[in-house]
Amino acid sequence: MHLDDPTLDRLRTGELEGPDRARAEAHLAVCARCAAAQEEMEAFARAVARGYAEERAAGPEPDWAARRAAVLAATASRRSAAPAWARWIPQMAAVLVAVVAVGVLVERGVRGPEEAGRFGAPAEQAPLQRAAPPGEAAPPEAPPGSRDEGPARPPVESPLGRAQAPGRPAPVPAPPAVHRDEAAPPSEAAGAEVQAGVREAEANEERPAREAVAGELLRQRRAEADADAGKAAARDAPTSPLDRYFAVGRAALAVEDSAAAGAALSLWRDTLSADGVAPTDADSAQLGSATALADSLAAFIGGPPE
Amino acid sequence: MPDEVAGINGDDADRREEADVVARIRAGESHLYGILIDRHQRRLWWAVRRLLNDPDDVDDVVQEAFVRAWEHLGDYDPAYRFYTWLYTIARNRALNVLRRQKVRGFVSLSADDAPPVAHPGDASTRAEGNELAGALAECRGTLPEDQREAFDLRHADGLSYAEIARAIGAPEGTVMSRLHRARGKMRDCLRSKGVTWP
Repeated sequence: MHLDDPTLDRLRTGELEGPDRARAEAHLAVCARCAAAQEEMEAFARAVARGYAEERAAGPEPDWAARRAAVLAATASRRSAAPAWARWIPQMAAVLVAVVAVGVLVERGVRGPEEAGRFGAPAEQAPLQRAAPPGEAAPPEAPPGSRDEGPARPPVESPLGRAQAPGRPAPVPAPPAVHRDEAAPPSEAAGAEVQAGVREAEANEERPAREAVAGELLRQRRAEADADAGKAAARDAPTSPLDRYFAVGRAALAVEDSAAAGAALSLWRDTLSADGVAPTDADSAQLGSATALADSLAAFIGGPPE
Repeated sequence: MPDEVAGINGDDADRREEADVVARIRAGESHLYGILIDRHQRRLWWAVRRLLNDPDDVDDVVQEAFVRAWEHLGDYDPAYRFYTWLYTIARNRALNVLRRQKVRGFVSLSADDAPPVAHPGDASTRAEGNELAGALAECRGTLPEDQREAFDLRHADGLSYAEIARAIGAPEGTVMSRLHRARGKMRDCLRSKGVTWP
């Protein structure tokens, strides 16, 4: 059996190996027809190869250096040489990043806006507590230990939840919120208001006394207008002359009225002159106070200008 | 090494060398890709030139083939020569070009999707002044597309039967059959044109 065309062709190129090659060479050694066919095959292949070479030599060819540079430039910007499984790494990394991002957003939504600031995003503060307007006392702060108790914490809307509610009407801008944990004590202005109120209350408490003193002074002045003002005042005055002296004298010093102070001293002198001695109905403490008041009234009259 | 993937005329040494180069590229020595470009771009360009008429299309297909090979270098099977794999990539892209041209009514594709030959007149013109090259181009133009492609891969590019089978996606026995018939026709055609060989 003679060698066929593919066998001669493969023998020519060295593709035929092992036992097949040994059998073909053995046959060629004893078969002149096949040996001639083998020579013709090799000559034919050389002629064809020369024809291809002439074609390439005659035809215009690209600038190979430029083509090489173009390929290298195109490959320089692309990831390369990764096996098939490794090409999934960027996609897997993108999925991982997305999962982490979603987890972060969910965590932010669960933990509330007080934690959001850690991630650099603007914290959306819920109106946990309205700031007290000026002059209005802030509500009392939650007692220690109650800050984490559920009912005391208003619901907090997470940014993710808001983002997942398309079509939802835009929320009305809330007034600047104050976090419950950061509830500020009354402001300095509010504190000043309170203190002013306290002072005013204290002043109001003195007002009846002042009004009483003023009424008494008016009455004393009307009495002074009388020719015998001191005596008339003593007559109209209730109780003992010593009591009337104390009332007028203290009132004169309270309102810094020198005329009233003089009238009080007249009452004191009248009391002494009437009895000639110190009033006997007064105990030593009252006498000491009456004497001290008289000294104060005398010092006052001699002090401030009329 | 399996017999069917053996190179021809000592190309097995080239295959091993290329496998080493590819391994080094994959390990990070990307600059070595220039070695593969220098070694194969001219042969690949002419192989694609025999498939496509427009040199600009040839340029694009060759560059895209190198780039795609670069991107998918991890899929390269070192049991075969790099050129075989590279040609397969370029051939597929050339077929895409031909399909687009078919849609536009420029060319027709055969049923087995073998690429048509570049216009024989163009080859003759290119080989003007070279009698053998002109005869070769004209005779190749008479071959069926599948036989012509197998003939070109075998005698112009030096691929083994196994490599041709792998490149065109056909059984090796089919390659043998196509080459046997193609050589018979080429012998007759070339002799008819006065071309002789011992």
